[in-house]
Amino acid sequence: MSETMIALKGINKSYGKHQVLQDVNLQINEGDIYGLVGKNGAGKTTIFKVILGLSEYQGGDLLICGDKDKAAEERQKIGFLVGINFFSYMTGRQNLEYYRILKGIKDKSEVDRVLKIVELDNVKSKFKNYSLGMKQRLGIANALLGNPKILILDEPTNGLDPQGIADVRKLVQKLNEEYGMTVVISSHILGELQNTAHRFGIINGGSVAKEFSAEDLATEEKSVRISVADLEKAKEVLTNAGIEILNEVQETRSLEDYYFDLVGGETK
Amino acid sequence: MMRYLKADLWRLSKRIPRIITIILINIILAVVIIKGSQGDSWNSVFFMDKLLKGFSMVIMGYGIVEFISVFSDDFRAKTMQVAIGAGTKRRHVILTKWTDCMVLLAGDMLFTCIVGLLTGAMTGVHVNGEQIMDLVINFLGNLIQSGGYYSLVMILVFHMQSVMIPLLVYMFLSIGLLNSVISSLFYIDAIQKFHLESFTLTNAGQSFISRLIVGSLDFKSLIVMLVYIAIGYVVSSLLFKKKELEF
Repeated sequence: MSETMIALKGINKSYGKHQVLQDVNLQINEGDIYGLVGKNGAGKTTIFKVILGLSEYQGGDLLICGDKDKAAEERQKIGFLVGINFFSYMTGRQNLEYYRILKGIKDKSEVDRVLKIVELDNVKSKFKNYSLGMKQRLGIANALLGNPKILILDEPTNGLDPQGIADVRKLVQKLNEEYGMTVVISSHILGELQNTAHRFGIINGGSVAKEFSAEDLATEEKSVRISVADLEKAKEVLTNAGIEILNEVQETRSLEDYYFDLVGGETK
Repeated sequence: MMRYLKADLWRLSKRIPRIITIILINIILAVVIIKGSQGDSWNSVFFMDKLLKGFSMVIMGYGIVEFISVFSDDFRAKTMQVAIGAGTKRRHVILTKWTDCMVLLAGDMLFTCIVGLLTGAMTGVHVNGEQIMDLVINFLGNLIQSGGYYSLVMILVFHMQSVMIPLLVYMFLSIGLLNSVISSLFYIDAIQKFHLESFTLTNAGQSFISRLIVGSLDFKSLIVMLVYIAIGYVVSSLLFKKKELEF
């Protein structure tokens, strides 16, 4: 049985009379890619802030790597991207060097390693001259410093172009499969999250409305899509076999498929 | 905490405007000393007088420069949040920031001592051991006093999560404006009988330096300054402990 990496048990939080988290129960297991879904203001970022010790909660327990009392120390095992936190007057490499020292990572080549992963190893300009996509990638590189056991990514695809979004997905899957990292990721792009995560939690109004796995989602499917060369013939065969056609939907290509066909690159 | 301190000092060493400002301040000081040396009566006594007066002036400038350097970029980039998220305890964040200011200020002051003494030597002045000791006493007294100012201002910094108002308060403290306002209260009859004059940070610092120069350690003033540092740290820690930090 896989180890519980992060557990929130009955977490409550309010700002004055405004309750932002209400009896939040979440369990993220080792090896999971956990997708956190919810609209703006639902409480996703607050959950991340609670996990990272940036927000006090009024009730319940937070366990990181099974430990309640040593959460601050256990946080060293977490890499995270929640906002863009870099000094504008330094280069991307210098910013990561700063965080390498701060995180107590002795291996100086670590900065090169993570810059290579996000393909920023050849960029020499100052952070203030970075595009939004480059800033996001640098944020991911920072999260990867020191090869953390857990990775928290709050909307890592924000501001990225379709190729950038696909790159982040591939990167997350690679980190999970090859390095065994547990990943908690939030995104507004549900199709994207569905392609990436193994388990999901839907946050609504400050509480977890539902938790389910990718398998659960698959079994919810009520219809099967098949591609055939001759649609009329297929319908005739089905009718002759006594299978009633209840619904016929003409399927068009997705914008994503169309985009990648046109400009190149890949989604999977 | 040491990792955070090391990282912060490393990144501050890359902050070019800060370095340029420190160099400019020292060039101005050197020019003032050289200009002062052009009279006939120029000797080590005049030189030390000019250097010590200049010294207390530049410390105010350094205090402001280092305060901005340590906090303004940090609040803009919200890197403090990353440090906490990476496992740094909040009270260690406060201690690190205070130590940042103190280390940088001490470094700047040391640089000014070297520049001042070298400039003096260039003008043909030879300072004796006693005069060097006066400089060391001023160095220590001003450093501890500034430590008190930083510590008190950090209450506002960590509570307000901004730099502007705390910076103004720091300036009022270091130029003695707040001390003058508070000292004026001591003339009120009801307060006068308590003889509180020696308990302000600025007065304690001045008393500590002047008494040490004549060879006696003003233990009470030293304790007063250290108590201010401790109060600043404790109150900041309490206010920052449950502070909501935004990304």
